[in-house]
Amino acid sequence: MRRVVITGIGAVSPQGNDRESTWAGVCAGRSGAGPITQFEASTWPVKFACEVRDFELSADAYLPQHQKYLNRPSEFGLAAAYEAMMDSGLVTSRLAVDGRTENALACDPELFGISVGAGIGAVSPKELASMLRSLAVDGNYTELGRVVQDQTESRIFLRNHPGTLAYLLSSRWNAQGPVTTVHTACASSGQSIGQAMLQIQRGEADVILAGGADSLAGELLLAGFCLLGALSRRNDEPQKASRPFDRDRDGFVASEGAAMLVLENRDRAIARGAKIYAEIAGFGETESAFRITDLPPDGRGTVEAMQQAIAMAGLSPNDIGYINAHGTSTEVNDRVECHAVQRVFGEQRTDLCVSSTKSTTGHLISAAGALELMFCVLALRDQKVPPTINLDHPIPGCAFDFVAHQAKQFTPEKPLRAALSNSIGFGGSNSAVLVKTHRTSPAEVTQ
Amino acid sequence: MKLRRVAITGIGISTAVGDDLATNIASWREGRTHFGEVGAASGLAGTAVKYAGECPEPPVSRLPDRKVKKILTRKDVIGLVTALGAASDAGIKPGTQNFDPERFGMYVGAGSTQIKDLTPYFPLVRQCVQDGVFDSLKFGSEMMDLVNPMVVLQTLMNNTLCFAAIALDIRGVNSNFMDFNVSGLRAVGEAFRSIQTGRADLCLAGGVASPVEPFHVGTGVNSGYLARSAELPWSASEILRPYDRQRCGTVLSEGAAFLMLEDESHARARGARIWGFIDGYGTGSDGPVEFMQEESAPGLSGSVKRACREAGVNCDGKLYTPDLIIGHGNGVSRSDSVELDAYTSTMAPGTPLASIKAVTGELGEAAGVASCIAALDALLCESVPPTFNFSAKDDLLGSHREITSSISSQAQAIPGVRQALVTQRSFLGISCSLVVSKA
Repeated sequence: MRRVVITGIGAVSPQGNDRESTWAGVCAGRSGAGPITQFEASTWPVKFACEVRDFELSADAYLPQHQKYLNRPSEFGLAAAYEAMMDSGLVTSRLAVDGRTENALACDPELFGISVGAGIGAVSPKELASMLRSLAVDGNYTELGRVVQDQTESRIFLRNHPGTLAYLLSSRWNAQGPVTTVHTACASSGQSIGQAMLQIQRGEADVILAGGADSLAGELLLAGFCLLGALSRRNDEPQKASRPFDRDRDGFVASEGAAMLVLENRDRAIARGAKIYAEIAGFGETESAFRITDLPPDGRGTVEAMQQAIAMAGLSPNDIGYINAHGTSTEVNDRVECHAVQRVFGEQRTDLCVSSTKSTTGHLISAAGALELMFCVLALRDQKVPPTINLDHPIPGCAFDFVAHQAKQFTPEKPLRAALSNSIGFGGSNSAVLVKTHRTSPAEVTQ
Repeated sequence: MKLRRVAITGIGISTAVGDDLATNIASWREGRTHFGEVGAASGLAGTAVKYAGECPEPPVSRLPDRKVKKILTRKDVIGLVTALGAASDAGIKPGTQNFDPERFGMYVGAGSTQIKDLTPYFPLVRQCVQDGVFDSLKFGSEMMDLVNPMVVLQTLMNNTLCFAAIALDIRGVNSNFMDFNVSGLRAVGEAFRSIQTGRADLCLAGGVASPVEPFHVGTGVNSGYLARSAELPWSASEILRPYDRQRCGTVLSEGAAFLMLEDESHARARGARIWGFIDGYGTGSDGPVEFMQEESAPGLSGSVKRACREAGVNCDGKLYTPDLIIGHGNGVSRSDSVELDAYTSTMAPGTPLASIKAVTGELGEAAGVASCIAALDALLCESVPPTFNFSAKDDLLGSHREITSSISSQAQAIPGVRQALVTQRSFLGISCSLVVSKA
C-alpha cells in the first residue's frame, strides 16, 4: 500500500483569503463573525454570519471561458486550489504572449485527480426571482421550464450544481484521472479527502487535489437553517455566538470558504524533493444510521470513524495529541462528540487537546472538514494547537484539554506527532482523517 | 493485499416502465418505452420537450416509516424504495440481518437539488420582488411564518443514503457522489473497491435521478443536450436514437437503480443468489473541456482501459475484446461520436455494442447502474440487447464503421458470453467503466 503525503495547501476563510492569514487568525482566537453584509438582514431572526471579506478571484485560477459557471463557493474553491497547487511545487509557470500566466504540471494528467466536497448549491433568490417574475401570476409556475429554456445565456443549472467545481478544477489543471464530488453535508470534505487518500494508496492516482468549498451566507440556505432552528441567535454578540462545548451554546454560526490540499504519493513527493507538510495516514468513515439531524447518544458512528482512522495509521489512541473536533456549538452534537472522544481515548487523558476551530471560523459545512484538516496539518508544522474561543463553562466531566481561549504551544520534549480531524454530517455520515508528522530518512533523501 | 472477489446479490430498479426487474428487462428486450407527455404539472409547459420518462407515483406505502414522507422529495422516495428493493432481492430486510452493521456500507449517486424542491420559498420570493429587486428585509421578516421549516432537510442530497442506512442499519463505509450522470455507476465502482479491499463485506450501491423538472429541461434544451421532441415528427418511442446518424438529443427519465454488492465468500456463506461478479472498475476525466463541445473523450478511453486491464479482459496489443459493451449511447450527437471514437481506439473491431437508452431514456445518476443490470441480463441470456432506433450507421467522421458494425436494433445471440463492459459519461467529461461477469 502506498503512503500519502500533503505537499500543498490553500484556503479562503472568514479569517483571511489565504492559508497563512487563516491560520494566524484562528491561532489568535479572532472570531470571523459579524453582521451579514451579503444582503440586508436586519429583519432576519439571525443577522450575523462568518463571511469571507475583500475576496477577489485571480483570473489565473480558472479558464476564462468558464467565468459563466462561477458562483460564490466555487470561486472560493478555485482560489484555494490555485494557492495549493502553486504551493505544491508541481506547477511551473511562464508568461504567455497575451499576458496570461501559462502553467505546466509536473504530473501525468492521467494520474492526477480532483476530489471535492461540495455544498447544496441552491440558487440565489435573485436568480429565482428573475425567473419567477416573468411568469403569470397563477402561483403554479407551470412554465418555469420555458423561462429557463429561453434564457439562452443562462447557465443557472451548472452554476449551482455541486459537481461543477470539480469540473472547473479538472479543466483548469488538466486532471484526467479520478474526478469526484462528494456531498454528505458536513462530512463532505472529510470524505472527499479520505476518498482521495484511498485512491492514491491503491495506485489509481499519483496526485489528487482534494478539499471542499461552500457558502452558507447566501439567502436561501441561511433561511433554511434559520427555519430549522439550528443557528445561534446571539445577534447582539456575534463574536461570542460560536461557543463549542460551552454551557451557553445555542447553535452554530453560518460561514463560508474553502480549503484544498494537494495529496501525493509519498515516494513521488520525496523523489521530486517536494516540501512535505505531513503524512495523511488514516481515514475512517461510518454511518450513524440514527436520525437525519441527531446523533445517537452513545456516539456510535463517531466513535468507530475515529477508531478506524487510528487503526489504519497503525497508531494507538495514546499517540494522538490533538483532535480538531467537529464541535458545532449545538447542544446535542457537542455533548455526544465529547462522549465519543471519551469512549475512544479514555476518560483520563488530560494531555489530549480537543479544540473546535468553528468557534472562530463558524461552520463551513461542506468545506469544514478540509479547513479543519488543514489546521491539524499546520498544528503539526508549528507545534501549536488553535484554541476554542468563547469557552467559559466547559461541558463537565471531560478530562481532556479544550484549549480554551488561547492557542497551546507544544514543546520539543513532548511534541505533537499526530492529529485527528472529525466531521459529522446531517444524514448520518461521519469521517475522521488522521495526519502525522513526516520524516524522510537520510537513505530516502540520498536515493 | 489479497483482493476479494465481489458478487452482485441483489437488484432493484424503478423507471417509467415500472418498479420491478422483470418488467424493465422485458422493455429493454422488446423496445417498449414509457415516455409520456410532459407539461404544466412538471413546470414544463411551453418548452421544446414533449416527452420524458416519469415514474408512476412512488409507492409511499413501501417506505419503512411513512412519517419520513414529509421530509423526502419524490426523488428520495423513489431512491429509497428502490434501494430497499435491491436489499430485499438480496434477502436482506430491515431488522433481519445477522451480520455486523459496521461491515455493511452504502454508496449513492444522487441527483442535485431541483427547482421544485424550492417551491416552499416560491410564494414569498414572489412577494419580495419589487421592480426586479429582491427585498431581503421583507423576506426575513416573513419567512418564519410563511415557509415550511423542513425545506432545508428536503434539499439535502444525501437523503436516500441517510434513510436507507436508518432502515437497514447500515453503519459502514458510505458516500454520496454528485458527479452528474456517472454518479450511480461511480457509486457501484467505489462499493466494489471497498469490498474488494476489505473495508466492507457488503454494500448497497446505485443511483437515483428525477430530472424531469424545469432546471434540467430548460438547460438541456438551450444547450442542445435534449431532443426538441415537441418539434419533431416522430413518436415518443422514436426520438432517442443512440449512435444513429439521425440522433438529435436525449430524452430525460426519472428513476433509480441499485445493486447489492457482496464479498463472494460472505454471500456464499449465507446462501445468497449470485447474479454476477464485478471484475474491474476505472474512472477518468477529459481534462479541459467545454460543456457540450467535446472533441474527444480521453477520460472514457482511460476508464475503459483501466477497467478492462483490471478485469483481465483479453487484449491484443492495445485493443481490448470484452464479449460485449453496454455503452453510454444517449443520442446526443457529439457525445455519441466521441464515445465511438474512444471505442475505436480501445476496443477490437466488431465488439458487440448496445445502448438501452432508447428505451429507458437518460436516467441521469441512475443510468450507468441500469446499464449494468442490462449487462447482467445479457450475460445470463447470452444475448446482446437491441439498440432500438439504430438504423443508419454513424459516419459523421467516417471512422466508426468498424465499431458500429456490431450495433443492431435486433437482439443478437452470443453463446458463451462471459464478460461485459459497461460505460457511462457525464456531459462534463467524467467517465466511469465497469466490467461485470457471469455468475
